[in-house]
Amino acid sequence: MTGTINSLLVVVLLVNLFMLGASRMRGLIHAAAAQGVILSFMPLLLAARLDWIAVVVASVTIGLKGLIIPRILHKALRDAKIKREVEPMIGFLPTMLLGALGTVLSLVLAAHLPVVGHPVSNLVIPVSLSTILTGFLLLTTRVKAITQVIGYLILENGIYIFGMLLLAAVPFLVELGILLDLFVGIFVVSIIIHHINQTFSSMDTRQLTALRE
Amino acid sequence: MVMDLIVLATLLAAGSGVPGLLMSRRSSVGEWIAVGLIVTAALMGFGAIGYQLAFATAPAGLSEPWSLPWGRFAIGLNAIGMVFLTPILCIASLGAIYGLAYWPQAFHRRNGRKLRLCWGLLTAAMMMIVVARDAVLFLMAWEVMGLATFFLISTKDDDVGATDSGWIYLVAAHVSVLALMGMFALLRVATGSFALWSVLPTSSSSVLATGIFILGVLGFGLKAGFMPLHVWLPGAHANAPSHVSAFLSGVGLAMGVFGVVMVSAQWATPPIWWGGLLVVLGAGTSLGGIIFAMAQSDYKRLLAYSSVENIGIVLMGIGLAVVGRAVGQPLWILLGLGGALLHILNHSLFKPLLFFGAGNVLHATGTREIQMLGGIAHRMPRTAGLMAIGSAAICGLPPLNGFISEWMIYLGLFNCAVVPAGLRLTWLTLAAPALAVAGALALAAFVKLFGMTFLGLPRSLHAAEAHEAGILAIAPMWVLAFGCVVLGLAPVLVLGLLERAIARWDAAAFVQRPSLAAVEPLQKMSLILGGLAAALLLGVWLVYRIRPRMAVVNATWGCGYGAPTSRMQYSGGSFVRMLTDAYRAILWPRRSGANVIGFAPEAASASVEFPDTVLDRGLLPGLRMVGWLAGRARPLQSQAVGRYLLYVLVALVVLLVTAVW
Repeated sequence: MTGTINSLLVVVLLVNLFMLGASRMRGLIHAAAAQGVILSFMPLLLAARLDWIAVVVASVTIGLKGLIIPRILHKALRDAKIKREVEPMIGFLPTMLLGALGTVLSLVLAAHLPVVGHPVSNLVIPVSLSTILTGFLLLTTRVKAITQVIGYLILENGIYIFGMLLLAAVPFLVELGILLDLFVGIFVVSIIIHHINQTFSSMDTRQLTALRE
Repeated sequence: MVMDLIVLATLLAAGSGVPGLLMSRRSSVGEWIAVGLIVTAALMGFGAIGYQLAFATAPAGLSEPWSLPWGRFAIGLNAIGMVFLTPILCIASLGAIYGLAYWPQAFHRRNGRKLRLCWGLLTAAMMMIVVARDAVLFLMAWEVMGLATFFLISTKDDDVGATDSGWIYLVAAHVSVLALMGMFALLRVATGSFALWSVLPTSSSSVLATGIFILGVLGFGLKAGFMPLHVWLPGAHANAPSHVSAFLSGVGLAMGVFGVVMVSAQWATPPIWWGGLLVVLGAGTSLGGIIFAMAQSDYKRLLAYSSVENIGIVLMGIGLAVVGRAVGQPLWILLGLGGALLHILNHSLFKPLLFFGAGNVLHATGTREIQMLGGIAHRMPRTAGLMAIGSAAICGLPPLNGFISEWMIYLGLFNCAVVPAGLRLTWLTLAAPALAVAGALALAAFVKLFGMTFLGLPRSLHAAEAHEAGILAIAPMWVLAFGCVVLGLAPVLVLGLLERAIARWDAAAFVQRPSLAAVEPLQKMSLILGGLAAALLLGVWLVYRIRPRMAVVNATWGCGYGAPTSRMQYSGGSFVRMLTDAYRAILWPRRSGANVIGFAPEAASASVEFPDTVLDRGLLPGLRMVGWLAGRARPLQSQAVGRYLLYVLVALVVLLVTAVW
């Protein structure tokens, strides 16, 4: 069991690095969706026995992260006629290196973090931290509004992984509530993107400063 | 019963401006109601004081719990409170009456009602400060006083000078509240309760006691205007309506002094250096204040700086008393504290008198520049005469009241020269020459004020067309001038009150000598001063008798020239030129204009102004520097979302790293 989880977590790490290096929007969206689906399977693996709540939550999560959210993003991409390239503020290679550095940092930090109890896998905390950092890197180094949305998505994935430490304590209903928030947030943002694009014909978040005061 | 009267009077005063709010802007009924309520409150307050003085055996007090989580509604009236309460009641009602003439609703529809509301609130807040026996209640009253004062200073809220002064005051008032909050918090640590003004069990040399004293001097000193802390004072008193200046200067500053007196009374034996610090601060304040006063060209600013000087004199007296208490010299306590408290009473008589007179001049001429006036004694004889009395009193000239209190402080300081050997406190006597220099400069300042304003020839149309003020403006001045003369001739009248106040401050002051009169032959003084007054009156009468025979109508100070003009007179600036030059290291004058060289030079003009050294040369440039530095940090706020997220990321990583290490 632990072996499966560990290998899944490693895949998540690799997806992180892939996203930092992805130069095409479609690839980025697909990678985020794939990461979401992988993570959604984890509670099923962790649960002592399969009860129907775990199954419901997992299937809802897979449906949202794997199908609906990528659909919305693709649609926004299409409707807003955004160019299909990711526009980075700093290059792909430097961000990947930063991401790798972040991963190393997370591994070092996680070794020193005082954790109560025994986590299912030694990799949970470092992968969680690394995913959060990846989300932040995407948020700060990418220009387009859609990539910002994906950044928040990855951030949430990182927090989700961290939540696995508390699997016994956090009821799935709370997890579902968070998921709903995320879904509504992305839904709203994609609509906003559409409208901003129609009004200003630009999706560059740097231009948003022109709205100040 | 006494406390019930005080509470009722406070409520009446606080609400005195409210009926006016409900009336039309044009109606003048509201202002008469306000005056009626204030005067009623004052009479009730005087009744309470009189009853307490004449019949009561125990100190009056009242303590009720309230619904706030801290403190309680605890008030009490002791002799020190009475010394400070009397001027509050007196000037609040006289100033309100003066306001009927000076700031009538009919001419000030926009802000007359605001002024009267805040006047009542200020009166009530100051009454509460004096009687409060609970730190929370005290701070609330202190805050109300600060806010009411702010609104009073900026009564003319369309005048930039007034609003600027108001803001500076507000900042100073809040720094003061901050310091006092700290002080009361430390007091709470020391006593375990918010009850006020009891003698503390902790040693006076502990860090806690030092903290309480320093914070108290800072907080109360900002209100009283000790010299480096006086920055708000000149502008506020110059720009406020004149009766407000009179109230703030004559009574408001005394609230700060009240605080210092009460704070310093809290230890049985305070350290010597506390008293030394107060004496040095007092000497510096009085000298600095009067040097700046003398240089001013705005007569209300001059009066404001002169208030700083008088507070300095009071502070010297208090410092002397604290030293006396520290080393067990009851004589110093009697003379120092007695002189200080008497000077507070005196200052609350002559300073409002002078500000009322200044208000009449401002009302009649529309200018605050001494340079524009001259010769208005002929057109405003009553104001001129009353101002002359006030000026003589504030300079400490006998037989008026200022002389008595300054004389007591002189006596106390001279006594330091004959201390028992081994105390090493002879240096305190050096404050006496400082006081003397301040007195001499005060004389110069007020000769300038009175001479340049009222005597000579008019320097402008403003002065030439001045008119005398109405009876409502003159009558309060008569009362105050009468007070100056009476307290000058018969200081024994307040002797009992002063003795009680000194006994409340330190009961040990009377161990060697039974009374203040035994130290200071006040009765004999009264006789001598009475004789002096009689001689003075006789001299004036004689001059008036023989004048008709030698009367020649000519320009004042015409010096026999054929065609004297008003421009040939001394100007205010040239009159004190010698002195301002002597003190230019302190005054730091800003001169501009040509130097006139040689014979028959071309037309030239020159001017000199005296900005406040602390405020205009130290504080404001310093604050501008802080503003500039803060502006350097502005680029951090780029308004780019990505940048803010980057800050979050950096903060996160730093926090994680520091949490682990």
